[in-house]
Amino acid sequence: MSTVIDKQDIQCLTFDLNEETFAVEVHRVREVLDPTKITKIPRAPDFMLGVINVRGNVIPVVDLHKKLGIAQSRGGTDSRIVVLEADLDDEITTLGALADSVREVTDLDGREIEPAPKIGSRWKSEFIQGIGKLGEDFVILLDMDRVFSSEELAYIQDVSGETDDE
Amino acid sequence: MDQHQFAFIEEAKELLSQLEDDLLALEESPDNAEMINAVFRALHTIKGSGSMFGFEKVEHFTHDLENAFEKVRNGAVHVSRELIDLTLAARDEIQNLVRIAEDDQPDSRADARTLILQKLQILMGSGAPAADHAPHSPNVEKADTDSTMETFRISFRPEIQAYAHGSDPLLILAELRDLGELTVTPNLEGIPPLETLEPETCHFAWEMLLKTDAGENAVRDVFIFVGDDCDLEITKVSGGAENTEEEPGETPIKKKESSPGTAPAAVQIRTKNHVEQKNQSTVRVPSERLDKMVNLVGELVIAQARLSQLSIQTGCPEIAAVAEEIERLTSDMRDTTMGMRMVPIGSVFGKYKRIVRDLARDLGKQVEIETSGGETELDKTVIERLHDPMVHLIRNAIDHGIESPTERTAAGKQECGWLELTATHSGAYVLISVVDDGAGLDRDRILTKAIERGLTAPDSNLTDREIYDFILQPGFSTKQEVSALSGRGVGMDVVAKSIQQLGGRIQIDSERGEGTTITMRLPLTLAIIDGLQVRIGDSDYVLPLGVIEECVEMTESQLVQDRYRHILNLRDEMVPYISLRHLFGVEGDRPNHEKIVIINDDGNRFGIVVDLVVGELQAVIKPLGKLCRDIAEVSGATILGDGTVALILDLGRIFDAVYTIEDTQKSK
Repeated sequence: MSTVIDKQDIQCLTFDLNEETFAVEVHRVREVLDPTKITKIPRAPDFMLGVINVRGNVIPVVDLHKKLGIAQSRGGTDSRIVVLEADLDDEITTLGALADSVREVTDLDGREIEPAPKIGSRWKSEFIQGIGKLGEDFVILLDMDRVFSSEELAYIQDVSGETDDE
Repeated sequence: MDQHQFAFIEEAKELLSQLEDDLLALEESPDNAEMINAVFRALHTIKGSGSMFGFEKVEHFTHDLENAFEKVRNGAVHVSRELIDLTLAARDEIQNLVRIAEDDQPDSRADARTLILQKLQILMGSGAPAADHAPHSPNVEKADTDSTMETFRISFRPEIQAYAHGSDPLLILAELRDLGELTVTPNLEGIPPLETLEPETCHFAWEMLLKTDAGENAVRDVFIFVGDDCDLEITKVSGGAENTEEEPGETPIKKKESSPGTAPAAVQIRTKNHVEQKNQSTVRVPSERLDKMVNLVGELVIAQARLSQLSIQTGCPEIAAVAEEIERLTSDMRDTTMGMRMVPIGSVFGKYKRIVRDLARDLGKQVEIETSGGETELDKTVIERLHDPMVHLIRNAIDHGIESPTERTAAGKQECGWLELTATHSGAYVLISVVDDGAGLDRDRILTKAIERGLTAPDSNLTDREIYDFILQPGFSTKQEVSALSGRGVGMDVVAKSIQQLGGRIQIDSERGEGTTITMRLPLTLAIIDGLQVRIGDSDYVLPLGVIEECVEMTESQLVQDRYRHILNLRDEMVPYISLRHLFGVEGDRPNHEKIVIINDDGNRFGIVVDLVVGELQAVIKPLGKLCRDIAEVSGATILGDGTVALILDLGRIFDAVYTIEDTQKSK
């Protein structure tokens, strides 16, 4: 997936994280689950909440607040786990993302999506595919592949100190 | 590519690997007629099915090869090292041909094949013509063998079910015709009237006269794979009889002197191969189907766990009885399914023999290889993923471990080096060792290097094993330094990583001047294990049952307070123990009565403190996925009866982690 956006409409799932609205492309989304018991993983990085069982498969759940550098919200009865697919180093990985609430599946007007501003952004702009408009509100379209690549790799190197050395 | 061609490729791969084993065995015992026949049979089958499914190049090359080998079978040429070399090379070429047919690639090895054939012919003695590119024809074959014309009377009635068994009698007739001048008279007596005729049964019979110089062996070989139930009679009518009576015991064909009219009981041809196939009755199943089966059994085990839990909750005796029954069945089914995935490791040891042989030759060393425990079974996936690490270890052992013959003589050793591959069971694990009697590791140089690289403090007190473990560190040794000093380490981190990914561990033992033993400890299966469910705080964990000795109540008897580790007095034995609560940073208060699970993991005896021991369970191992892959203490996850996820702990690595923490603290 690239940050280049063609001018077609993009069908997205929108969700909230601490009063901001975010969107992911809908073809990335497998399902939306009610919160369930998340099994913690000892010594995992802090954005990793743990793992859950999704119909017989064990998938990790990440905290997007931590991952995107957004202030933690109270959490509440509306929170959901969005199960989606991300491309981690050419390997499709299924993972869950905890959202404060899930809004809807909607079309974002491709012509109104603009690249992320380099400055003035409160979040790590490399994770943002673009900023769209929904009525009067801004919606931040996330690039899931990037969200789960850079830091993930940094983490692995940090923990194991491994380098490819044949 | 159609289904049959695909089946041929699968079959050919198997035959080629069998051929390799046979050739290596033949090298060891060059006079073993059974082995010569086995090689011949393998070639013949590859040729036969190759031609049947349109793999012409395979057919032609194998045919020429078979012709050359005919002389070996006749005893005209003796099995030599050179012959085995060439035949192995030829085998590789057939493998190439099969591979390019499979991948639909262009063939670029025609010259190599011609060269092999030419060399073979030189080896077979002068007089043999160059068969190189010429498609096989009766002429080639005629010139290849002694030119004594013989006439055979062949009476052949295929079994009734011949078509159903996939044999086509016409192909046999065509093959006979290739051998020489053939007169065929069909015998239609057995054909029932049209209204009762089953079109899928074979009622034909043939009487044939074959005038050939190919010898009786060749005639018999045509019938090598017809079923056991056919009627076949081969009678020599005329010709040089002494030539054909050299190997009377080989196949039970009775020769009768020209009295076809009074033929008594029909004589059947049997080959050893055939009898085995009949008795074993195996079914070939694509491995994806097997994997799916394993997944389904996994789901079943999870569902069964849920049922058991429900039955306990409801407390209804009828449901409890059914739940128990299902539990028993599931457990049996699990074992059977897992058993289907188990493959004896001996099946790959053969491949390594070849590698050892070729490598030793290339490096000018003499290496004798011995294998033991080949019957030890391992999960198919484990064996597949074990291949590269094994090759790496073997290569290291021969390249850097075993010295050259002169060096060995100077060191007072036998000229011929010795390499052993062993496999043994040890609980829920299999130990696979690569043992050599080479130069061994240079402990001091490794230690110096480790200190140089800051991997350990100069004053730390390390055991030999801990020092050897440094060679498993990524990039620990650069090539020139290592081959000059101790001779190991190139890519050993890759080996270590692959073994780790399989849930295994590597142990290195070495004695300077005496040799090195590298042992890989691997789990029996990657799919389902017997586990013990324990609880810490509100999280459940699964410990592999295979390494658990006992569970005891924790009493206030600990002696030393370390940061993570304590010592427990267990019936007057000092056992260190690890608090998982502490290690994992679980919040909340410790319960009043903690339990200690005593682990004996590969000689390391230690305790694991948990809040509660829940009970035994069958844990279906689920991968944790890429995001969590590098958390060392956790080897996987499983799904419990209530649908939540429990982590499966790697106790060996927890133990190591605690020790490493202690060691670093000590060294500071």
